[in-house]
Amino acid sequence: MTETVETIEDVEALIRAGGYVSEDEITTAIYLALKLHRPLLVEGFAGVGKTEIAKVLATALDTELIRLQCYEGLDTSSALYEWNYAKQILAIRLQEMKVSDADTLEAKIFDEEYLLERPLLKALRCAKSPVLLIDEVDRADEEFEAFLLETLAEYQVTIPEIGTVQATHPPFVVLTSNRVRELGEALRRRCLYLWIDYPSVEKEIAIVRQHLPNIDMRLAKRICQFVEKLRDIDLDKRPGVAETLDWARALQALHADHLDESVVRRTIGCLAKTRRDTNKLLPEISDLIGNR
Amino acid sequence: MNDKQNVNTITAEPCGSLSISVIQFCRVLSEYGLKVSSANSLAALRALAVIDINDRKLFQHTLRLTLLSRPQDRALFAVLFSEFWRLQEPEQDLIDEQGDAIPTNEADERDDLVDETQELDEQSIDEVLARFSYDTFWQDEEDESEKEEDSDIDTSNDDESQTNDQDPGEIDPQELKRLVGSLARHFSAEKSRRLESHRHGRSLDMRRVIKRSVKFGGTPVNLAWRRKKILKPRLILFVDVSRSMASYAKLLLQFATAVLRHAWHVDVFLFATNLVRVTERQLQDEDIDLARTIAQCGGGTRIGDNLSEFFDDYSHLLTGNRTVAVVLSDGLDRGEDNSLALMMGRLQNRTRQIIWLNPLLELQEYEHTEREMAAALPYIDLLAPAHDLACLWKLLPMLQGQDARLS
Repeated sequence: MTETVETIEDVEALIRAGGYVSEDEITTAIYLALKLHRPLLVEGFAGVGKTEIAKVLATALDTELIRLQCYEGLDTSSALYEWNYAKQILAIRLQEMKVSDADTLEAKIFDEEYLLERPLLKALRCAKSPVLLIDEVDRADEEFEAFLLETLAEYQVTIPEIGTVQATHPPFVVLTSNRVRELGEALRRRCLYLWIDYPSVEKEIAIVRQHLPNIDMRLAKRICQFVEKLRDIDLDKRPGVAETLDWARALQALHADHLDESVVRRTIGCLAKTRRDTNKLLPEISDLIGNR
Repeated sequence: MNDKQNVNTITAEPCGSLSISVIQFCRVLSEYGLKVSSANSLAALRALAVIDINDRKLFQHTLRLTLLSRPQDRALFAVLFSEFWRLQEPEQDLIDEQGDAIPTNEADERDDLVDETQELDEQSIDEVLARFSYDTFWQDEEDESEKEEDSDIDTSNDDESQTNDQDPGEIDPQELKRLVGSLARHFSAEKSRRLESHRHGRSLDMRRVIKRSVKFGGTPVNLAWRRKKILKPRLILFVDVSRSMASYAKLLLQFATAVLRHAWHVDVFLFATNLVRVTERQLQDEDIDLARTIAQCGGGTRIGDNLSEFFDDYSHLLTGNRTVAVVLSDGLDRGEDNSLALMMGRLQNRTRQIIWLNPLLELQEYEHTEREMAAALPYIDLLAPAHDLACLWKLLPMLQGQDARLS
């Protein structure tokens, strides 16, 4: 796996091939995560391409992407493993006749065969180091965070009935967080920490052109400049790169070749995501387009 | 050529001079309040071993990625980085022989400093302990900490000596127990979405059902149940035992004791000039241990500084977002102006609720208090009086009212 990535330049090439517009710090982070085999914790505003890193990494390394979406109340049975109860019941019925001893039966039905793999366990048992994306880890509660520690530090989990499962090919772990709540120090300490800010206009233009190769250069530039100005306004939800791309696609679909008030007004839904934001933006559109 | 050699030595010998500089840099970061653990520095060293350290930008990125864990620290990091690594730039690759010698000296000096200050601290604590008596403690300290206080606060102290007449008086332990019991019920009403095994649960615990059914040949004779966990929030009590709070300290400490005995996750901190964590045993052993602990706290109030100390040493207590912080203080902060606001902001970020109980709230001096507390007010979810037990009883409806507003 890591034979292919010896130097930072290798990583840069891989990322570029994967279609991700990176910058020095992100490249360095990915390089170190691969080289040191340390989890990478990515924080940043919504829509700046946090999740994308894991996807690109998986493509670049030609390996599987295993995704664990976190939510409040996420527990081990949906993150790690669960026993296949229906199959167990069936097995008990079938075995009843043959096995007289209860202990043997118990050992039998709590066997790997009856284990339902959930993302974490799957990532540990992969034959080739996969990329494990633990998305929006801030949404899960602190109990889950504590549980993650064992997995991330040792790349192993303990299943009472079976024993400890140790990863033979440890996954590359990418955690993302929107900072809904502060993550615990213990988790942070075990990770490389990467903060992704909103991109510069130049970088954003590059991203738009990467995703929409046919877009007119001038339009792309104006779109990104417009969005950058939006980010300075006090909005409930500031538009991320994802919104910029949505909007650019929308404008392309409408065959707009330049920004004017009516076209922005029609597509405002791509940028403003709450009623308050919409009301706030509408009167300011001409200013935002105009003074430059 | 030279560069390459140097890089090789670093890779081979992780305890070369660059390592020392990096560790030093970590210390500098810690001194400026950035949280850098030894695990972080170790990760930094490991990471530096696999990059080209002569690329300054890469070097900076690597340190930032490994040492920082919060976005708000980035600006300070940038400043400290350029400051720290600028000094060593003339020596080319940061790993010249001289570069080795100078930082080590500095480190030694700093160590000496740390040692010295620690000695001083211990000495003063011993001194205080030697002449400590529970009743006259506040007078004893008077001349020392009085110097810092301006005339405003002096008058407030006079006022408080009058309010001593309104001493909370004897507290009925039964009454206090009931009060704390109802507060406990209030705080633990929330249910988790997570399930736990429980006899009175409503959903089946399949894992156990199957396990138990094995001995009956698969017939589920004994059922097992699960129910939603009841969330017990962690409560952190900050009890002000400074001179101005002396007359209320007893009530508040008893309150703290009663709370501790209840089945919460509770941590109690006493503070005045210093912050001291107390255990349940210490609170019960009121006569000796507690008096000693209070002595360790000193006389004046530095809420901001104490909170900052709390974040340095005990921030691991603030796991998750269900912590309720209760501050029992008159808010007469004598620390630096902005430190209180800054620390309250941090506390607010890390807790669900901040409750501030202030004994002076219902007295005439409150206007004065309000000015003192202005820095903290924006961060407080509930500000309530606490000069006697009746006041504390009123806390409950206020909490309920607040929850209704929040939801």
